[in-house]
Amino acid sequence: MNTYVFDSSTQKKLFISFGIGVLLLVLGIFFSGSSKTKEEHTSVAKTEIVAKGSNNESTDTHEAEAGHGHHAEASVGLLVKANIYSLFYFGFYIAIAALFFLSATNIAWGGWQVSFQKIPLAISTTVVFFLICLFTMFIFFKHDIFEWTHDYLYDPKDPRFDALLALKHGDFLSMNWFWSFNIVIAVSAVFLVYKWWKTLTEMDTNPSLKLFSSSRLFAAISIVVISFVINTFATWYWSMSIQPHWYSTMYTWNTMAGAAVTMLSIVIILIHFLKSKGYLPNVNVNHEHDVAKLMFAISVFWMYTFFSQYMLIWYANIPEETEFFRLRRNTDNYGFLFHFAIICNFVLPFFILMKRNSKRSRTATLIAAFIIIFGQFAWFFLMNCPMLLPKDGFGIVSIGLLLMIGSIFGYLVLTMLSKIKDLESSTHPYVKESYKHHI
Amino acid sequence: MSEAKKYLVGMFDDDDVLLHAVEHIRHAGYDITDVYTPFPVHGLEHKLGLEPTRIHTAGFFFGATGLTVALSMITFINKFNYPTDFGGKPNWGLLAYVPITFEHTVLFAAIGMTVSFYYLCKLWPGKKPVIIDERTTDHLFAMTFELDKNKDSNYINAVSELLKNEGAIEVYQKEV
Repeated sequence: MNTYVFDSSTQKKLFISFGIGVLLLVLGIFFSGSSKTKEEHTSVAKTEIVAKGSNNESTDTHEAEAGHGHHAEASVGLLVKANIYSLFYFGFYIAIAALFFLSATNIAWGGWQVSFQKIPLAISTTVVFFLICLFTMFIFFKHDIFEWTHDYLYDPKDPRFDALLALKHGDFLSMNWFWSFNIVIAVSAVFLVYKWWKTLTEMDTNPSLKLFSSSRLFAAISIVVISFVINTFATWYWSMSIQPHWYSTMYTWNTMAGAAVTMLSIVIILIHFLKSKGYLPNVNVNHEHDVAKLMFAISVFWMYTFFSQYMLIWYANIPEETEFFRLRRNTDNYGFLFHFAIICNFVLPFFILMKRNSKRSRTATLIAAFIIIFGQFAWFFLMNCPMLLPKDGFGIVSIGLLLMIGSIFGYLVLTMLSKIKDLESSTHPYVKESYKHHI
Repeated sequence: MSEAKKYLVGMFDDDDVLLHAVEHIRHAGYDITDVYTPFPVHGLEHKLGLEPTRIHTAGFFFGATGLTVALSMITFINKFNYPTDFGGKPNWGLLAYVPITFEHTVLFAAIGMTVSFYYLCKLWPGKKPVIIDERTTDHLFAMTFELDKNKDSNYINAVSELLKNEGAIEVYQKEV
């Protein structure tokens, strides 16, 4: 019982949830399509008034802001594109967070994670799927998602010329730099995943200390590459540049913390799932306790980065910076979702997972895991979409797409898990430490 | 402090032997007063049947005190005692108080827990240390049984016998 068999009943369940997702998507498109035509005129007028109001207060460099953007062309197509883009981005980061978990635990000579470390390994392989999806979006819909890709912004003769973006154009926000970094990110991410997959699966069939010690060196390299190449530039180019006038140095931290806590929630769900099927007999309540501790800690860390970003912007009160939260926190567009995300990502998990007994309980950790996944999904939506969908864009379409992409993600992860010969890494040098883990 | 207490001491030289001895002696129905070890022995506190610590509950209340003190102090100063207008910010801007309140909570919890920990362990500056056996600071383990008036020689003999059977290298009585 050391190799996972992806049985047909699980597959069927995933297909059903994919089907529900498609159904919700179609329903959502139908509803928003019928209501959009009535509201279009009023909404456009409203956003223009808002944009003009902010222009009068700010300096003349902001004048161009009202001219471009997607305020006027918010359509069903954009609704789906923005939602699906946000989900691909979310999935990419979950895979990278799984890679980070493997590197961090291996470089620290961790022994406790060995018996279930094939789960994050399987999660990390989905990076290939999400990269392909993201690159497809970049190639075909770059003008829909990224405002800065329009050439007219950099033409001084054009009325839509943007002086601030023109300053950033040569050094950072240009297609050449964008694609150079995309290729660097993609190549390094795929290489890291391939190398980790190869090392850890080879250790199952051919256990050798040489492979183990080289994996530690590789873990050190992975951490540096993940932090300084993949995370930093992926958040800047793929998410922060959707709102190109705004920038924050806490943004990468916040993204990474959110993805890490989601990844840990998925890991604990998969541990419970596999244990209910009779796999992983040596993973016990002590391992779950440690994963739940990490979930608790990183959800607090997420709140820390979120609050640091928010409070500094609130306190400084510079129009250029408050723009980000003006779009997201105000009650007339995403106010409810904004506070809902904070409650789901910090308040509820904090109180659910605070006590030792609840960290060791199956029900409490599962509830916290699902709350965190949904809350982080909402927050990733809020990071990417409000610039594209300034009026309310979160709804049935988003839930349907979450179910669809989530089912694909689950299918990929379970397929990769079934390809692993030794689910519990029973030949790893530290396996005894892991099996006897006791806290 | 009070007058000297008398102890029956059994010395062990192996932590594994000690763990089994603790289990067996408690199973035989004798109360172990304390065990002294040169390093932390994993699982000893469970075998000894010690109650889990309640210091984190104390920590919660210390932290709550810190939070209350910080918030009420800042509120009193900024809202009532000396309200000042900084760039149009509200006088009672809760967001700006979060870092200080957080630090204050941590400070109160940390100091309170440290002090209560030292109090519970009966450690304070200038305290004369009570050492059952100097060798427990280096390489041996000591298991002690307090001897009060209603413990006669039968009890001492029975426990000594048991200790020797369980692998104690030395059994003696000591007054500290």
